[in-house]
Amino acid sequence: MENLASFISAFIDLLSINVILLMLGSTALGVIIGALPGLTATMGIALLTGLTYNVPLEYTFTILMGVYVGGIYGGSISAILLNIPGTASAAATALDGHQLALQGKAETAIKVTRLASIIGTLIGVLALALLAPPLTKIALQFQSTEFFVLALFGVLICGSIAAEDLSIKGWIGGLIGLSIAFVKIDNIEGVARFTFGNPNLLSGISVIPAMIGFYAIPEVIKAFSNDDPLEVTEAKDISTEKVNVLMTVIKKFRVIVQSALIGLGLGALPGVGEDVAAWVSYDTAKKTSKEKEKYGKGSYEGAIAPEVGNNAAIGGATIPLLTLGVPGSPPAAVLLGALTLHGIRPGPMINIESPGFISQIAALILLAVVALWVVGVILAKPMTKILKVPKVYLMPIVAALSVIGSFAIGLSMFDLTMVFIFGVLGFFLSKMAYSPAPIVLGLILGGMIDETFRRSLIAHNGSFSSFFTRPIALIFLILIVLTIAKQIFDNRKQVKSKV
Amino acid sequence: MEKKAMRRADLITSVVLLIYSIGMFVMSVNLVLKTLSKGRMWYQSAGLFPTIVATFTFLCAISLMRTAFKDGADFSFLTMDNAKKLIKSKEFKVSFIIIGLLAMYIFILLPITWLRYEFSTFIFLFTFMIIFNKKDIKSIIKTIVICIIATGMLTYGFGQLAMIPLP
Repeated sequence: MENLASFISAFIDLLSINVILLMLGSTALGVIIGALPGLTATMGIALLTGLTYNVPLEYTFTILMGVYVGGIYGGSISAILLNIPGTASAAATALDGHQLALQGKAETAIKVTRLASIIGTLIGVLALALLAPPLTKIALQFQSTEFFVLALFGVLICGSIAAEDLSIKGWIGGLIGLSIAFVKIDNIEGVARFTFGNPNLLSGISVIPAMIGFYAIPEVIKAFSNDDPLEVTEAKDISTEKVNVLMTVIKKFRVIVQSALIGLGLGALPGVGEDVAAWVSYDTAKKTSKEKEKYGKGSYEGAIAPEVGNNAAIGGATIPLLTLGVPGSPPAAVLLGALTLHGIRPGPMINIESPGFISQIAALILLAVVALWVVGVILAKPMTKILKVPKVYLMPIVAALSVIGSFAIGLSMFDLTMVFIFGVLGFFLSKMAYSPAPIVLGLILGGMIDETFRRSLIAHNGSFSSFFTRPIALIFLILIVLTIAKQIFDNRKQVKSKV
Repeated sequence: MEKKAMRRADLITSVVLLIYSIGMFVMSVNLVLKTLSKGRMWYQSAGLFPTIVATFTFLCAISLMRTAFKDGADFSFLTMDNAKKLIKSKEFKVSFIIIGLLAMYIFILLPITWLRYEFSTFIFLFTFMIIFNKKDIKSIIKTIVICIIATGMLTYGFGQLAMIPLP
């Protein structure tokens, strides 16, 4: 009750004209970013983090949360109208959403997914407001051992799930990210590690420029690799069938609750995020549906499930971000960078060092939901024109924005070098089906994993016993072993089936 | 990328990763030895976890190489003819041009102290758009106008609104 009261109070405090207008604008920007293929919510937050560096804290997170919520929803618009998801989290929505558009129900499909997104985000935000504060109390019991195994598990599971081709590529991505994180002066021993005498590397690789490099630059390069023109379906209903959007969504209550729980759970898993939540929600809804045969042919359930799942994952991903300092998704990973930049230290101490911050973030997401409803109605029809913006004009601007966005963080030309290097590396890795998610998560968590591992050993005089005697650490250790064992077993099964 | 080409690429990647992991392993072990020589314990060393990561990277690289071989990849594709085919492919040319444009912007235009950010950015945007756009007068004029607007918005947005010193 106390948490709910704090959440409601934080929401009321937010209701100033500046914040409302800023939220409407940033949510609209998020929807457009999410809708445009090649741009993602992660990219949008990363690029805007630099822009908001000198902006007061409350406005910064208004903008970033608006872009986050708008971006996750926005992907569904291009999924429906173009059959190209604007974000990976909308890939499952395209399966039934575009079919509905082809049946002349584009406008209804957009309205249904918007309502599903709003419901999913609402459930996520309630979970954040109610569960996160008590979780910080549990997290206060965590020692170095628990943080080590949790963060390591996060990188491992992210690698396993996010891998596009072979799972080993996801793990290699995570290991690459970890090794990049080692480049700096070590905090425990005070020695320079892998800096090769370059003074710019002594403080380590800056996360935001690296993320912009991995997420934005490859998309700019890939956009020009094919000449296929986009076929945009008009965002209006041609079919004469009258559909009550509210009743259509409410009738799927079971799917909504199921997908929301999946989204919350998967969103809370470090690094996994909205993409996986959407697919698992879709897959589970299909398997448990009485109308399985309609999936893929224009089923409203097929469009609702992934949108509820991916938006519930926003709240889910924010829970470990704020309570443990471990981001639950790539956009949450960028938010971690933004939080650190503004002097907020997420983790078990957040309620002590920044009291009320969790409720404030939850309230911002709730405000973003309201903004999404307004913006979604206004932007629905103009989106057709927006989606037709030629990439020859859009992508060079994204490239220039990536450069200035990276520079804005540290005002360092060296950060631009990092954007370039990681951009080129990210492009080649993406061509070989390496997902950027485990690389970036490894980069973000690498320092924490290394330091907590050694601190745990130092505290126990070199003994590994704490990893086996502390219950939470043991649980995660077992999960790590099972994840590795499953992968080895799956690989052997695959090899045997080829033979 | 089709599977056969992917596995060939994986083969090359696995070799790169093997070299990378061995290099990292050697540097990490050196750090551990330095720690021990100072009379400190091995678990305090900055090289401890990198040693573990290097080892796992090596093992993953071996696994990747094994998978690539099992799927039929081998090193026989590394010929001059294939290299020429790759260089002449549209995808390679496009990637090379864009990477070149980014390098020009970041390493040449922006560091020139007497060239203001607005002009560097306009030159970058205009060059980028004109290379990939139609070359008729109408498109060129449209490109110029869009570049001016985009440059103006970036300069105003970051320089004035966000008060960030521009490069």
